[in-house]
Parts: sequence; structure tokens; C-alpha cells
Amino acid sequence: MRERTAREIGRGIREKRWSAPEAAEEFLREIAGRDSQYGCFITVDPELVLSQAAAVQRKIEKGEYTGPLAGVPIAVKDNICADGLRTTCASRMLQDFVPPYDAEAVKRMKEAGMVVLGKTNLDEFAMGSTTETSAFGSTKNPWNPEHVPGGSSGGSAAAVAAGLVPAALGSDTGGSVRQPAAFCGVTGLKPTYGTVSRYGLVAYASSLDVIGVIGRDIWDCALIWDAMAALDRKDSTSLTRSDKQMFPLSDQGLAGKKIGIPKEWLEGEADHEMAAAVESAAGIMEKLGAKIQEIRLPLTAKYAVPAYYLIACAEASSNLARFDGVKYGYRTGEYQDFHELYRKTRSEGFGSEAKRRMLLGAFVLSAGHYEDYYRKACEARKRIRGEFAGVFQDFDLILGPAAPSGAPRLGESLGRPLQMYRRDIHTVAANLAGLPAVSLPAGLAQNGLPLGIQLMAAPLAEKTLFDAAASYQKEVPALVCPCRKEA
Amino acid sequence: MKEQITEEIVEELEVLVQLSLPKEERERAGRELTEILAYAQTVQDLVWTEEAASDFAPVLREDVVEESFPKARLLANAPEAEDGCFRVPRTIGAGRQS
Repeated sequence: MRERTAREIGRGIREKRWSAPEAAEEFLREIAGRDSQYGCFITVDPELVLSQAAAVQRKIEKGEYTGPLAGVPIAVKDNICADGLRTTCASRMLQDFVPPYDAEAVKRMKEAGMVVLGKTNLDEFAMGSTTETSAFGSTKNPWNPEHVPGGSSGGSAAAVAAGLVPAALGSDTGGSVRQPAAFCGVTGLKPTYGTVSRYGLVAYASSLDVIGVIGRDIWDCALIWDAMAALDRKDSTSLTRSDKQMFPLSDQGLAGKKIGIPKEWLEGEADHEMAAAVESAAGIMEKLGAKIQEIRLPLTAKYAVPAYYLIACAEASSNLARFDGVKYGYRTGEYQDFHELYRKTRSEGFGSEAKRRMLLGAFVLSAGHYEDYYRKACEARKRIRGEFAGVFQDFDLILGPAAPSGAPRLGESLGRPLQMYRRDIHTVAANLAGLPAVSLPAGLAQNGLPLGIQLMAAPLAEKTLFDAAASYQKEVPALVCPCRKEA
Repeated sequence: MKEQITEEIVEELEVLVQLSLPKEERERAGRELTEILAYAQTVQDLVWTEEAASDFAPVLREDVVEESFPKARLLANAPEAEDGCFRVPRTIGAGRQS
């Protein structure tokens, strides 16, 4: 089962070769046997999983669940609420929090008949690029456990790469689905902002956060996207998508397409192996009929990372204000008054990266600094959106790296926050401009770790993106993590 | 001009975000924020314009009374609860924070 895609598992269930409980049991065995090596999961409740799988199987047999994902297991990043299943955001602040509701995305997964296998590890409150800021320990890259899986959706990416689950939900605020997918050699999809409801996603930066999918390939990711993409009136930024006819994905998706490669994303911002991977991908795409051209994104190159961190931290300082030890979450043991309750609870409950981002956010929003930092960052964001709008007048897609290199070693990034932030250069722009983007495996570096390229499209142009990715992936077979061959 | 985030500034920020850092963490935070802001200052090149960032229009829904969550479920996550309420320290008359 670990070798199968989500749609193969779904087909096997429809064809009665196996059942939903059998699929769930097999993946639970995989997790029990192998997750201790990688630390992908924070919470797995086998009893709950099996009872959900049994309920789904009954509905399949009654003909109530007939879709391609019915009975298929899925993991959910632990900043996305699932009813009755502990949701910690990898933070001491929520270490015992059990949501009384499903996130809208989880509800839609369940309506498609999917079975939530467990909650995956992440950087605390989705703040980080390595899954090392989790209060529950780091996740290790299944390709080489001395390296990070990326972040913040590192648990989800590693779980899919290791074959512990066929697909997983993640969240992407500055690259947190695409980059770990790239580091783990799997496919990571970030939808257009507003496509998937954020109701039930614990907010980090509300104007940037998007729920995305990590899967073995674009076909699985697109199927799950299709199940989740819907207007939700509980999310005031939710979009009505009238373009839901994604399937079948075309294998001519690159023919005649104009693809731009930003010069600034390669020069000095990608190591030679990553640059070679992008060039090689470009060559394949040209062979499949695309026209490749170098483009310039000077405003994005200069302002995207600073603007991202100023805006994201400002929003985070506001969003994390709700964690105060009053209605839910951690509360400090001893306090004299409510001032002390707040300050001790929050100082003990949050880790250092979350604290750093809140302090930065408070500074850039404070009187005397708001105009110079936050407002200017919003201006930078407007200009970046305009720059992409200009590019997409003439180009269908943008191709670039998903990260400057393959996955760094564990511990390398800690203690140097600015250096870690600057590595997000290729991914933050899609969040600032609300664009759909996907990272695709593009071979291995010399050290055996995966390299991932990224395709981006104009807002709402998922069909163009999916078809292009499908055409590319028909040509470039999926990477298989050696760990999947272990007993 | 480089923004210098001193320990005093960090202390003020701690009040804004309701944190209390030990001295060595405060010193480190000051250094890190100084470095990050020096990098992020580049946005100050830009001239802010009044035009809207996007044509975003919020999604609204009808104001209809629906079933809410059972109180017990909501209180299940409370650090302290009593008689169907969240138990918290006194706030009225508790004085200003130092």
C-alpha cells in the first residue's frame, strides 16, 4: 500500500480489492513501525481512525461515497483543526487542545470519504522553514535523517515521502508546503489564495495563509484540491471558483505555453545543482512544446522577502494575541493577577521563533514605525503583485527553484534567523501575490537529497498549472525514497 | 539609518505582546531584531501610494441564528472552569500592569 498513490488506493477500494479499514490498518502499521525514525506525526489515534474507516466503508457499501478519494487515508498538518483530535500547532501553548470542530478543509475531506490518519509535525504555529521549532521534536528527512525535511509542513512532506500516508494537508504562508515537498522529493501544491477555506486553520498570517496539499504527484494533489476548493461563508476571504473542471489533466499542458524563468532567482540565489535542475526541467518543458524565456522580476527580487517578513510578523503578532491562558490552551501554574497570567502563560507557552516574530510584528506596527515598515511593506506587496500581473500578460507560467538548494542539515539553520529567512526568496512571492504554485521533484543532488523546481501561474489559473505539471511529471517519473523499500 | 533595537525597546515590545523575557533572551532578541530590520529597511525606498492593494470584497453571510456549540465542549479545553464559566483572576480593580 505504501507504494500506491491516493487515487490507486481509492480505485482499489471501489473495485473491492481492499477496504477502507484495510487501507487504514496498513498505514497505521506503517506509522507504528517506522515513524519513530522520522517523527512525522504528533498525534495518531488508531481507535478513532479505525472507527472512521469503518463508518466510511459502510457508506461506500451503501453507495453514499462514490468519489475517487472515498476510503483513502490522509494526514493533516497539526495547525488544522480536526474534531476530537488533539491539535497542538506543535506548541506547548496548545499541547492538550482538542478542537470541538473540523476545519472546513477537513470537513470537505471527510465528505469525500477520506479518513484522517493523524496530525503531522510542523514548525511551531507554522513559523519556520525546517520543522525544528516544534515543541515536540524535529522531524527528520526520510532521504537522510541527518537533514531537515523543510518546513513548516515538514511532518506532512516527510510522511508522504516515507510512504506513511499517501497524501497530507499542509499550510503555506511563505512556502511551507512547496519547500518541504521539494526537500522530501514529493509534490506540493499551494492553491490561489481564497480557494480553500481557512476556517479551522490556526492563523499565522491571515492575508498569506493557504491550505495546500502534499502528495506523490500532481494528479493526487489536484484531486484533493478539487475536493477542498469551494466557497465557504465562514471565511470572509473565500472565493467562488467557477472553473472546477480540472479533469482529466491534459498531457499536452506544456505545448505552446510561454514560460518565464526569473534571472534573479538563479543568479546568486540558487546553488549550481539547483540551477542545473531548473535548466534541465526547462529543457524537458521545451521538448514538450513550451517556449522558455528569461524574465526579470527586479521588484520581487529586492522586496519580496523583507515585505513578507514584515507583513507576516505583523499579522502573527495580532493572530497570536488570542493565546492568553483564559479560554483554552496552556495556563501558567502560579500568578498574582491577570497581567501575570498573560505574561507568564505566553512566555512559557511559546517557543523562541514565535516570540521573535511577535516582537518584530509589534515593532513594525507600533507608533512611529508603522509608516516606515508595515505600510511600506504593503506598498512593496502592491508593486510585487503588479510586477507579476505584468509578467502574466505575456507568459502562462513562471519556472524557478522551490528553494536555493536541497535540504540543509539539522541544526544548521538555528541561531541564524535572518539567514534562514533569506532562503525563502523563491517561495514568498506566490503568497504575497496570491498565486497558485506547485513544487515538483526534479532529480537528486550529489548528496542524494531531492531537488525541487517550482511552477507558478496567474491567480485562478490552476488548470494551466495542473496541466503543465502533469505533462512534466509524465516525462519525469516520481522519486522513490529508498526508505520505502525498508521492511 | 540603521534601527538599533536596544534592550529598553525590547522591554516595551514585551509589554505590547505580553511576554517576559529573561535578560539574556532580551539581549539576543535586540541583536536579532536589529539585524532583521536592517535587512528589511529596504522597503523604505518605496513611496507609499493611496491606491488599493487589491479588489478584495469580503464574503458575507446572512445573520441567522443557528445551533451553537454545546457549552460543555467549549469548556472542555478551559484551563479552569467553574459553574459553566471560565475561571480567571479578578480584572476589575486589579490595577495597571508594571
